[in-house]
Amino acid sequence: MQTTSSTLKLPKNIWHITLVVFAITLAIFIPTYHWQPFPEPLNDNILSSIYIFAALITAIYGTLLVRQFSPGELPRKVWLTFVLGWWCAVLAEILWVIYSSLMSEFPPFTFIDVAWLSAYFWLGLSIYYQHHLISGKQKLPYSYLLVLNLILIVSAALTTLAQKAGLGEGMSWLVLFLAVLYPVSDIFLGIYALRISLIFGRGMLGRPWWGLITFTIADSLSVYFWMGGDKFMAKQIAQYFYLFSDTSYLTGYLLTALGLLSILVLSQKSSAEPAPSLS
Amino acid sequence: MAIFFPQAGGDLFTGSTAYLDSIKNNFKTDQATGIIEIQPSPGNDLCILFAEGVLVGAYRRAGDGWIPIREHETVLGWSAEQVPLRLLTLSDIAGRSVWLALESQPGRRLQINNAEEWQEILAECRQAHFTGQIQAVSATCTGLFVCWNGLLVTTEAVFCTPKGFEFTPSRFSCSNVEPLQVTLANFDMSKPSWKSCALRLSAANWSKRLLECYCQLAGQRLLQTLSDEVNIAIRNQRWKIRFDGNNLLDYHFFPQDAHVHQAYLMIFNNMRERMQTVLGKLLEARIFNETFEALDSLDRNLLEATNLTPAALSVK
Repeated sequence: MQTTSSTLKLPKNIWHITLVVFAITLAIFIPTYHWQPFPEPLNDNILSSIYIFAALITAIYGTLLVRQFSPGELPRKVWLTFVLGWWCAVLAEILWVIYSSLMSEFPPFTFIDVAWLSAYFWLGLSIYYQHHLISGKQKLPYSYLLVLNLILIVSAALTTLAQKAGLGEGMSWLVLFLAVLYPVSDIFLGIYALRISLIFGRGMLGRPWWGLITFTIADSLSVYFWMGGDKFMAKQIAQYFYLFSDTSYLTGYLLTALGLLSILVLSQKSSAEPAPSLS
Repeated sequence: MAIFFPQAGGDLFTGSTAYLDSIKNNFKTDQATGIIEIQPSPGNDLCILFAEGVLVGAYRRAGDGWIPIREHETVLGWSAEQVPLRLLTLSDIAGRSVWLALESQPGRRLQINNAEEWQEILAECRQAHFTGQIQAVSATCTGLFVCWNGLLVTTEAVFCTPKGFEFTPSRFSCSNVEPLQVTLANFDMSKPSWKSCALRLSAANWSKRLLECYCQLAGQRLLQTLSDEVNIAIRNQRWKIRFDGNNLLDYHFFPQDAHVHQAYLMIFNNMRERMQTVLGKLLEARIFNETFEALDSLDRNLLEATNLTPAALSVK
């Protein structure tokens, strides 16, 4: 059997280094977010930099993992689309900082949305590939497109319902639709990621999906607040919910990165030990 | 007197029972694999087989075949104080092949005059899904081959010429041009040698499917990691078994079928544990069950008979 994948040399203590760095990241993020000790815009810039760092490290570990597979291998499709999703997330985080520095109020539809929707598309495709790989069932042609259509239809229906319920006051149908599309996509991603991670259980290949589940929960919460959901709770409680939501969002990145790293570290072992001889 | 692999020569002596004991002790202390052939009286042949210094069994020729006897019976009924003895050290594969020959009941016999006829016999075996040992003997060559479900098994083939031992069946078919006496000895699951062989081959088929399936889910690199880790565990046991890609190559001569079973139980449990780490319990159990069910009925029945099944494997 031939392997055309690259041989990667990670530092031996990469796992411990990453854990320490991530712990420090969280230790900086939580107080900076909650108490805002620095003047604006420095405080926001620190938080945005932390998000970019977390997204970047996730995408980098994902890219390194993809390089472990040869082009014809089936799991490569799963991880390639997965990592494309995270690179789109990196782009979205960077665009957020750029937009924030250029304008105080964002237009209804920005390149940030394009980046996020692309991220959803790739992550969804990755879930789709993984699901078919582990279920071993024959793929239905265009079945991913069918799921995408279903998400659009559900989002459109919910947008109409939300408008009737009084959510998203002052927003046009299209803006509200976009706002609904995120949590609906999150729910779809979350459900399928949960399903995959349940199949893998504590298996290493299921770990990167844990991050995605955390990420989608956090994202759904923040969209709910953005649509005015925080009006239904006391301000202080809402602040804690914000903290929880945004910390979970960051943790989603970190968990995904750790999940990817655990697979990377295991795959590193193959080149470390020579095959025993029979003589 | 030379019964097995006469072309290999070996050490020929005339010795007493005390001398025989000293040879046996040498096998044990040197942890050697090989055979002692004894001719206690004309027309009466005995064999004692060792695997890495452990006695595998003693056999007396009976008609066309051999019957197992107790070790102490090898010194009974000697016609003289000193009788012809032959000592031949063997590799593990050659030792296993001799064990199979000693525990097989010879069936069909035929003479083959050229390489084409040899190929015809192989084609016949393939068509009939023959499972057993093919014993081919000529003046200058002896070949012992296991045919499994109609196919020659490369890890179970040995042939001997005055130049030495070879373990590639294809080279045998190409090199042979002289008349050969061929015996097709049928597989007998009641014999320990065949139980061991069945376990080796069926387990190899199962592990191949398992690893293919694992590779599909986890990729080549993680498959290599798994193979390396299981190889280390095997090496710690000093067994001559290893994974090479998807293939489980077994060159070890275990003196008892129970030892083979123990070894494979350990190997499969080790694989299972490592697959569980990567794929999780549910998926690992699924691929073990699915690949087992997808096996050829011969392999599946043999693994069931030797109790190497998904249910027999356990992970702490």
